[in-house]
Amino acid sequence: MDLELLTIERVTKTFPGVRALQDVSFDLDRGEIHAVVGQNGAGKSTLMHILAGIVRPDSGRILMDGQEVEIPNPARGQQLGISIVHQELSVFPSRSVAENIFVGRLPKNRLGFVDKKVLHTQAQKFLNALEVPLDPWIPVRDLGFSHRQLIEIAKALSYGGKLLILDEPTSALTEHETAILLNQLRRLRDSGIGIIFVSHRLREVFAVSNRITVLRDGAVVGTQNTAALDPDAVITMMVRRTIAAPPKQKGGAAGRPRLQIRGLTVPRCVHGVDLEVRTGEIVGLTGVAGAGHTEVGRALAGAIPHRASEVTLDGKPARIRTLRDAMRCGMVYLPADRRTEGLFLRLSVLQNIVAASLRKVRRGIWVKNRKARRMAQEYIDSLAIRTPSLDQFVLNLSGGNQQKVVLARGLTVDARILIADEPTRGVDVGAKAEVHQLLRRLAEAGKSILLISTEFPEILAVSHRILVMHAGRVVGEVSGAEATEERIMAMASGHACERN
Amino acid sequence: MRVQAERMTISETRSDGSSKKGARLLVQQLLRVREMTLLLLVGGCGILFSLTVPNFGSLGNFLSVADSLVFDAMITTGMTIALVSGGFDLSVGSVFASSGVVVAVAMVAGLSMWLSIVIALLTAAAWGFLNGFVITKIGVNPLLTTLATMGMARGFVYIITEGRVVTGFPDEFTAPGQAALGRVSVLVVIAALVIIVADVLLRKSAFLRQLYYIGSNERAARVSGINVERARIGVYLTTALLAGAAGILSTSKFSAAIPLMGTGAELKAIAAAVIGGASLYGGEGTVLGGALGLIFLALIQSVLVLLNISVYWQGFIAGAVLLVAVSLDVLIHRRS
Repeated sequence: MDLELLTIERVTKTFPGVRALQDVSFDLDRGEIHAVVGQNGAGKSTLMHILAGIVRPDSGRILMDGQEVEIPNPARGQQLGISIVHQELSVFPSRSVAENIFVGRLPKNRLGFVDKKVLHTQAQKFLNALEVPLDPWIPVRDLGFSHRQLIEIAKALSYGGKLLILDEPTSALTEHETAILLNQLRRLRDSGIGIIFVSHRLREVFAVSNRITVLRDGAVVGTQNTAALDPDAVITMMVRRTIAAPPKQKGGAAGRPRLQIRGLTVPRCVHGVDLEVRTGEIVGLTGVAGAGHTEVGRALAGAIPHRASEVTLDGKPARIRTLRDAMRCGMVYLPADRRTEGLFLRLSVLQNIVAASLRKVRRGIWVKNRKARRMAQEYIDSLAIRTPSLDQFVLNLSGGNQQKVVLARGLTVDARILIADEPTRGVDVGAKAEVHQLLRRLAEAGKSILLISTEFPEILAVSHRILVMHAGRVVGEVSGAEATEERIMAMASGHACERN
Repeated sequence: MRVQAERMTISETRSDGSSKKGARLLVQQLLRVREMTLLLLVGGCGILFSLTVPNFGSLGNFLSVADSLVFDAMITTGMTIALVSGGFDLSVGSVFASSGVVVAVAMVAGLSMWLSIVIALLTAAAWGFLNGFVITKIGVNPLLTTLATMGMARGFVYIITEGRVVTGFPDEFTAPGQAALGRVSVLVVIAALVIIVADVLLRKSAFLRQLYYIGSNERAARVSGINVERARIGVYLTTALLAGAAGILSTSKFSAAIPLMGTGAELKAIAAAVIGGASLYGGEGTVLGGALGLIFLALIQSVLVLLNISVYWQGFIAGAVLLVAVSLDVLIHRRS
């Protein structure tokens, strides 16, 4: 039998305004683990979504077992034996392992009731195939993440899967859990299944894959045998070569320490992070998706439960447990998720901007409308927010302008410390530069800024100092002046460690 | 959707800064008031019914309609505030009854009128605090919490009255409930004042403005540093106190506290508030809108009575109007 399981020929996909994939060709053999790596936005997810039938390509061919196929929807993908295990698990915690594996296709007996005996033996069969010693009847909520991942894989296999796509399967796993999962993947590979392994973690990629394909800006940079590559080579392939180097933050800020944290821990995400931000300084905290940098910001802002052995603010011990504590300490948090945490979509621009500063625009118990309007107008002018009026619903603004509204609201507070979480996500290039300029201005005015971002060029553009996280720990610190995308990428992918 | 379109045209005319600004501003202000539509609807229906339904247009009919709405108006005011905050209060009808009978039982037991009133209001506040505490601190959803306290408060009413109607109060207590200024009863004046004051507070006061934020996006409100817990507890205290005060006034008006009083008031209040523009998703609504919604419901009810339509149809039609109103609410929100 022919070894080749899947061939993709010259696939192109364009989304409005973005060329997500450009003439991408790729192939996968039976009994192979083929890793796909690349930076955020390189096109990995789009490629996987095309294979799973979630997205349709504009042009190009897909061949399974040498036959050209169309995958217009996920059901067809499953028929063809293609299964995707998503980054966000889609398990039903209150249901049993068996019910999770056979969700939507529970075996029925003649009366139309669930046939428990068949369900049990079937589930057991797939669990045995994975060599996972689990009771099919225990509810999934009692299981750890690695087992949940394995259940997803068992589900994929139960569809008769011969091609398994794993999208960042280890990002929520501990080291031990990762080892279990990688072992199971090797076993599956040896049984003849083809696996596409999408990951940011180069160590795991090198540990488990047969071949590696690197994507950059929607195109294939190269495909090679893992044995013929080393991590440095892969990183060089991954990093975008921009002709004009992005503007960099000049000079270090030598203010006094403002915020210091020791031993910050968030269960499952962050394992003992130390951090310091000085006055007038922009600290860039970065990492690949799931590295824990987002959680550090959320923990500092009091948005998620955490522990820290020591938090000092201007030299004095501080206690931050809730968002309100953080605000009282002079911290303001600009959330990454505009829609769920940032904006009041059905309220006006005016109301959104003054939300955090109602006490500034009131006299006695009354909100002074004129004061509020003046305050909002001030920020609309200084941030160049494009809106037809103060009374426009925020819902009707463009993404960039919505982001600026969130920023404006944060600025009304006059906080000393700004925690900006992905402040330019989904914002166009022009608005991005404006936001960066604004951050620099704020730092010059003496504010302390913790910039959390997964986009390395953004981090490079504004940070005085850069901290890189990998798997919940800070693995490197580098000054803005000395940093390069390669160095950050090497640290973020867990390949290099730079600590002084 | 339509409101949005209006706002956009307003903002376009706004930017040219002409000399007729004052007049324009006034028109804009009028247009911006969401209740305008409802006011036109209520006015239109009123005129239509006056012309077509015998006796409808008489002052007597209007005053008796107004009289019948006093307690519902106070309860609807609280309900609107709860809906704006993204909450809900099913217990208002029972809390209304609980204060109504507490004041009665206390006076019959020989306590002074003022002390009895204070005790009745404290009873209401206790129910409100219980709701607020369970909803914010324990995190049970408002629907289940207030469904439970609705049952508890009604049970409490039967426990302290043993199911009997309580009567026999001093004149100083019953007089205000039955007094009138000219042809308008004192209670109507009180209800109107409650509506006006609450409406202005909800529009302008810093504390109550927070409710629009909380109802619109609770997580964003937290990120903005708004004390969500405190505001929420405030909301349930308010709904309960308004219902309790209405209960006391009801006992005064009828010179009797009936254990069944206020049954179904919560549904009427929710219907009125939603018809008046409050959203079940929170973040929208005004007290004035809720009051107009209540008047609209009452107009329909009154027409049904005057047209001799069987009493059995009234609940059905009121329910149908509510169903249409909430369906519209859902459809409007789905489109954006």
